[in-house]
Amino acid sequence: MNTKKYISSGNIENFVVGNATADEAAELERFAKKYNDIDSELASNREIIEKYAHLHALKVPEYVKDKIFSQIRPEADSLIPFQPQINKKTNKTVYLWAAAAVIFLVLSLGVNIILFQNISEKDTQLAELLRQKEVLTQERDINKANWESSRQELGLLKIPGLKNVELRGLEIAPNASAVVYWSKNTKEVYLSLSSLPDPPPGKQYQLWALIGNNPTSAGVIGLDIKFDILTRMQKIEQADSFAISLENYGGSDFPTVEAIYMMGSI
Amino acid sequence: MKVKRFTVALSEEELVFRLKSRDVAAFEALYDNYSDTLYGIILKVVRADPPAADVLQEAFMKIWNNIESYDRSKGTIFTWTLNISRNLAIDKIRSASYRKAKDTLDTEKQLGLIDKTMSTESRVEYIGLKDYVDKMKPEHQQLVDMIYFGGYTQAEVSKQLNIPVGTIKTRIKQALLHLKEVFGNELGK
Repeated sequence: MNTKKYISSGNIENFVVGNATADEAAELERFAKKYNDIDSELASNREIIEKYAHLHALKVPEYVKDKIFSQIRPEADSLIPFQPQINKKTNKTVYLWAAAAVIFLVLSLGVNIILFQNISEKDTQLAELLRQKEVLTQERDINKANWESSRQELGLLKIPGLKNVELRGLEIAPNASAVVYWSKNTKEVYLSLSSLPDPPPGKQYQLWALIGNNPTSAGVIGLDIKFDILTRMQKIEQADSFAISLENYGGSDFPTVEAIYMMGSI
Repeated sequence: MKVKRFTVALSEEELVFRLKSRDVAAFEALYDNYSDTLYGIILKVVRADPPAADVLQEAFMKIWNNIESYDRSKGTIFTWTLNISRNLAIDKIRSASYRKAKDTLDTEKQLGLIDKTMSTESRVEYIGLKDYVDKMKPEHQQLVDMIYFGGYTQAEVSKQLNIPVGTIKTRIKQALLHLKEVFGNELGK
């Protein structure tokens, strides 16, 4: 075969740039195996086109390599003991390393278990502490409220001529109870509710001072009133008893007699 | 595992042998030697990053997973990796989602645009490239780039550039002869 003619045909160049048909490629492969000058011409053309390709190189972003090798390494590492082309010496080293790795793995596993147990324990302790803190916070709030109530009651002792009037529930609300503190001297009135049903919607309790059957309003009782906390009411000049009635929201000029919940005399 | 670096001297035969034994160090050598070139070529086809880096990653995963099927008698390992990268890049630009965005340009314009962006974007790092390719006839360079980088068949090129198939073959031969001269001169310095 005239190899020179084949070489000058351009088939080799076309093959290396990927322009050969499958038949042409197969033919060239066959010739390259058979004829040295075709083979070397093929190698030389490959080198040229690859050099040309390398001219287009651009720096790959750094992260790409990490991404690729992080996928490959674990898989490849697991294959090491089965690599066929390792000589005896390397083999021994590999097994030593493998043994060391196994020991290390077991140790590290043990440490991990201990650490994990520690963490679990700490988690439980933390949860318990948080629960205790919650309880203490609640207790503190209760104590604070109690203390506030006591402080107010102590404050009352300073008011001259103070009388305390216990109000008792009437038939309509037998369990209702409250204490009214009234000072003849300063005319101040304080109310401390102990028990009273929530008013129905659109209604509100009202405190009355009575002289005989003549009532005077001492003010409406706010819907946000707290039990056992002293609330300052309107000043009252004269009274021989106090009563609480349920009125329309905003209060009335005169108490609704059938809606008097509790009453008490001085 | 001890990673031995042999980026400089490793014969192709040895490299291929080690790759087929699933040697990560060999694969790393392959990556170090070829990734920049493959990235440059992928970028030439897809024209943007993303997705160029993703395509490169995909290509190397495919190279690693299919190394068994590489046949030395059919071409160098570089040609093989180039084909894989190029085909993935072409798949990418021919995929529906990619096309939607970039469909306005025909293939000929695409290649022109690639060369334009290449010559501006990479001017600093690859100053030598322009000198090399400037010495090539533009119609030669275009042909080689379309077929070698772009994966066009000669029938497609013939239709696209409106030249007979026979002329394509002749021009490729001339282009490679020219490159041979250029490299001969450059390397001889």
